[in-house]
Amino acid sequence: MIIHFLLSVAILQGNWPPPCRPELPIGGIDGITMRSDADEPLPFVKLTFIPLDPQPSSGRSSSASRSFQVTSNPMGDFRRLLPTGRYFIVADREYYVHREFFRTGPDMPPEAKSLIIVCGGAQSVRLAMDPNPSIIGKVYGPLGQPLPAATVQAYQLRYTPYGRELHLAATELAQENGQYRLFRLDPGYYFVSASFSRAALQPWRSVLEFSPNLSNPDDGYSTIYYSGALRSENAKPVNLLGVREAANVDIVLKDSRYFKLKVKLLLPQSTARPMLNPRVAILPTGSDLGIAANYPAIGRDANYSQDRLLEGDYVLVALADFIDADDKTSTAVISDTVPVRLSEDTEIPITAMYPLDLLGRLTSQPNSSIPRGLRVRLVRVDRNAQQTVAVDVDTTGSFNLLDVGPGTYDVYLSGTPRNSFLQDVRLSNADRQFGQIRIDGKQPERFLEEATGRWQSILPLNVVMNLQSGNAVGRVMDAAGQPFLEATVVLVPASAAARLRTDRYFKVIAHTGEFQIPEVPPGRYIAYAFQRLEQDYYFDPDFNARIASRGVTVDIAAGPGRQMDLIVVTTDALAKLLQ
Amino acid sequence: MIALLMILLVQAARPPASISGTVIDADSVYRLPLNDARIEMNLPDRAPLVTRTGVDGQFSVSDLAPGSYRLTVTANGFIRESLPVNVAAGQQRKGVVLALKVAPAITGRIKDEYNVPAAHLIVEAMKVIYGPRGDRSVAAFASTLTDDRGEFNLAFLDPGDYTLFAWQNVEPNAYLDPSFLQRYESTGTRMTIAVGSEGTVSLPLIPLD
Repeated sequence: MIIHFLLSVAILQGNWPPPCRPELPIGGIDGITMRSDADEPLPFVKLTFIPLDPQPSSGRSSSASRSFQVTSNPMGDFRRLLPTGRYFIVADREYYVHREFFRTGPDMPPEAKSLIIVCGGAQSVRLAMDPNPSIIGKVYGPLGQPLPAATVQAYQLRYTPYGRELHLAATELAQENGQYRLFRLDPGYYFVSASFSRAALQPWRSVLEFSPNLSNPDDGYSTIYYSGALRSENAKPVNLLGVREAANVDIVLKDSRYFKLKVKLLLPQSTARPMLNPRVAILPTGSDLGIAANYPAIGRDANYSQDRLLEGDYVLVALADFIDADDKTSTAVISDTVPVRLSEDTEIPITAMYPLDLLGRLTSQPNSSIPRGLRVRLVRVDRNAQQTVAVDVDTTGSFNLLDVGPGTYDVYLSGTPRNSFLQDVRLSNADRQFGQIRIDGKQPERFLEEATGRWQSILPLNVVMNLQSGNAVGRVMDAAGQPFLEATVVLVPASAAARLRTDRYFKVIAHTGEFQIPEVPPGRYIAYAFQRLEQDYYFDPDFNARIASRGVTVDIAAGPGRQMDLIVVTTDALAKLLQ
Repeated sequence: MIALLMILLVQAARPPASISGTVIDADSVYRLPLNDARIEMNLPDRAPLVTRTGVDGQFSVSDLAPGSYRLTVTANGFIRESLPVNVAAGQQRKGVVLALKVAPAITGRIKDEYNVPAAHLIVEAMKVIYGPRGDRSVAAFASTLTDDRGEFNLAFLDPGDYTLFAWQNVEPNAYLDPSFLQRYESTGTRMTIAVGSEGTVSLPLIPLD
């Protein structure tokens, strides 16, 4: 606190660099943040200066209170006064790769040097940031012709509590010479697919106007995954870890086979409000159901049949339109998703139901007023498609989720106040996975509200927020007991039920060798410190089984928390465990 | 303007009729054949007949009923051509050569107010069109999105005059609202583009009030 006060006094005096005075041992740093790809200034980079020497003024040991921050201005310039000593700099900006400058350590080159701030001096530095990596390549047809307006998608291989899953991360259109560029991707592993057909182009038509000189793709070709696979499980992953771009990820589409798909849509009998235009949309596997209405329907009414569909993997979902009280039309999902592997003529029944309204109530424990800005999110648990439905909670704790389609959803809370966590979710007496709800034709019990013609759950969705979270605080050391900088500290919940919830896992970087993780629900956890952990591996059950021997079991209680000491798992040791 | 060469070989009339030929690049010295060109034969009130050229640029449509067709040929990278074709019963039309001209493009880049490339921005190439009564309106001929370098490529344009727009935080198709366009039309960047040329432009980002 004293140092911060002295720094602000020095800033008010306006001298640069600041004069050296024995009672004020400070110096400065100035410089510019740049884009590495264009040698141009990059504004608004958040810089955190992390001291390597103990500071006399900081009584508390939290790393947050010991670091200093500044954000570069619109010209990319920055200037900061700092107590004398050794530092390194952590730089972050949206769409740019996290970087550390002046860091030394076992995983850094031996010539790396710390930043040294001397009394009365000002270091000048240029800090260059790399844009998030891209995947670039070309899409060709079977004749070797470039395919402009081919849809190219990047699926990230993600680690989730349900195992490894492919998540759609980016969608782009190929340019006039078949060239594409998938950009702003997080470092990680990706599968890349290319699609070229009238159907694949349809979602773009609501956003873009296509030149009449663009040749209609007609039926087009089957979706192909790099480097030539018809199925995602045979795709070759593209590595975007530690690289600026992956180039020449070229995809050649092949002459395709066509099959017939017949769908029998079983519609519910009801006197509820009219279900208009019931239809089945056919989407690429992994799509977001939020834009399902943009994809073509494969027919109308109850029995559909399409003769010429391209071979491949699809997901089917039934949709219908409803007119609400103020005469607005909205589209709702009326069936669970149905995966289809089309490699022969196929016939599939799909059962539809009226979407359900869930009236919800959020209570806090201990009982307290509900702050503004809270949102309840339903995240679809589905290997074939993604969907998130979010709704605001008002200050009385009420929220209404309207027209929720059939499916299994994990319930999450966002915008929660400090020191709080989601404690419980209850929809009916059905014995479900913690924090998860299931909606289908049988559950939960429902009634038809006569006035509106809407189906509504009899029991409300009860969500309990607990305001008494715990803290995980501690230090990371190497095998010799020396402080270890920049380790990644991970908390994995011990109970099987909590392990399926992403909000029960915690990860921080212990820049100075010390860490503090707030808002941890009380309970038992396994704590780890890794020298480096690039991806969210720690969600993966398989990964957790392999590293179990290196974890420390900790019990977190409500309140400030007890100090824990963790020995770092080095990158070499981790590689051995994963072999 | 239609660079079209037709060689007709008259043969003995024998139903049904057919038409075949080659699609080439009009500007190439060696009559470069265009593969994957799409040929659509339209007869009023009938489903269109569609075929494509192979690697040799050749196409053939058989089993044609007699009638006055409209033949439209599109090939990516070229300006589409459309022409009337009369087909008599049993007529075997061979050696039709369809020569297409390269479609011009406009490339450019957009930076935001801080000189940082603006990504995922819609760029509209609008054209002034006149209705049958001489009523003037502005319509989007083509649009595209910028990438992370702020770069865009409006490909496959027709030659002519365009006004380019890149609005900040705009809803797709906002320009369909006449009052929106009326308000912002003067903020566009005008460009004239000819066959065989490529325009490059540094486009200002238009803030919405």
